Amino acid sequence: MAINMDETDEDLVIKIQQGDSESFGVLVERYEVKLKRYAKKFLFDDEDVEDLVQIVFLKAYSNIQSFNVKMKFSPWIYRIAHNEFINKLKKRNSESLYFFDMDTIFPSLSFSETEKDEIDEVELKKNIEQWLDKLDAKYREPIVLYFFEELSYKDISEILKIPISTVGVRINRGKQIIRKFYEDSNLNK
Amino acid sequence: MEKYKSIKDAVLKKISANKIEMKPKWVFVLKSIMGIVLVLILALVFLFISSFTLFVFNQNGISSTPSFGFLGLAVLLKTLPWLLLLLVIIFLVSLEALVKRYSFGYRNPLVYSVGLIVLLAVLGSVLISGFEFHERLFERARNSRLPLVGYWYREYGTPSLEHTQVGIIKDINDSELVLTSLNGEDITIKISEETNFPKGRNLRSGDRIMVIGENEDGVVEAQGLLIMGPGKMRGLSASSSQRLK
Repeated sequence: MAINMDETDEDLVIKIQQGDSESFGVLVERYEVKLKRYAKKFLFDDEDVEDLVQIVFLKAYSNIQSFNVKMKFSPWIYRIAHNEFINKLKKRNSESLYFFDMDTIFPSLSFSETEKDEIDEVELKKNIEQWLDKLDAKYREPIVLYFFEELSYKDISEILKIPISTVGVRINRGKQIIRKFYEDSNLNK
Repeated sequence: MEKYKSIKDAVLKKISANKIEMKPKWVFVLKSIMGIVLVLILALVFLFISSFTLFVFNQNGISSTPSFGFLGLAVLLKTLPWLLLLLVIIFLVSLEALVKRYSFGYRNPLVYSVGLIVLLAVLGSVLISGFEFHERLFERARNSRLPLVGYWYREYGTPSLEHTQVGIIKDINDSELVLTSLNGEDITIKISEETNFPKGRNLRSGDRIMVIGENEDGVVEAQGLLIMGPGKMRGLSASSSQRLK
């Protein structure tokens, strides 16, 4: 089957579901760099990244018939990656995976996606990377997905299976923590 | 894992060598159906237990005990059907965990989905109560015509609060009244100046009441009296109290 590079991810999935496994190669090309970056920034693990991302693609292929082509493909494959990476963190057992917080229970009335704090976003983005390892996984993951994978709050909500308001709260809290590290490091200079 | 030039190369080679297989669509359809069936079964069991708990509260007059003040509150805490309440919580948590797998569950804060489940359970329980569903099953259980859950109905459905008596007034005068309990026993209730009476209207024969006070050989010094809702104790009314004897 011929592959047109302008085809959407969802068009390719339809072909794969009909038996065209070559089209899966195009999806792998499109997502390989993204998922590797996500893994590196979330797990801080360069050694196993290749294997982990390969497993993500194999699981995606195996379960491709469960994908609803009326939905977006990217949150679906990021969700598989999220599950794989969380399992890796659990095995590593080196950091807290306590993902429970009050914002998952009660709605955050004050939150809106357009909300910005006083931090200069561009300046912050430049510095985020150096402080990522200081963040808890529950703040680090939405920060990585938002700033580096440039996904929307809605997509992140679908990937992490948490309310959109909780995504916003976690990103804002993560930014506040990073700002504190940033300010403390400037004071110490 | 074997080393390849690229991830794409490795994945496609595994696919072509049939080392990884695409699961057929029916597997996921079946999983979805099973998931929905599980949610429905759990929801029905949860509704049954919730409405049964409401029935037990009404039948035993548990929810009325706080009207008797601190003593009533102590009685309430001591006699709450903790096992039933624990079951309600376990089923609520299980149902919530299942609902969270679906988009309408995880897209909203927990308080919304739990609130909706509780609201549906309360509405369902009230509806079931209106049809006297549990009262009918209780009647069958008392006549030993209810297998499996009959014991539960007999155990929880019979008023057995400590320091409280529930029944129908058979006879009444200024200083005492005779109460017929669900098991047909006549209890003499002594009324004194210290007895707290219900506000609103006088007691009369046929009223279903709760009395707080220690039962000593069929005589109770009443500390408080409370009129309970009519018709809750199926099979126990003024006219049927003789039959129960």
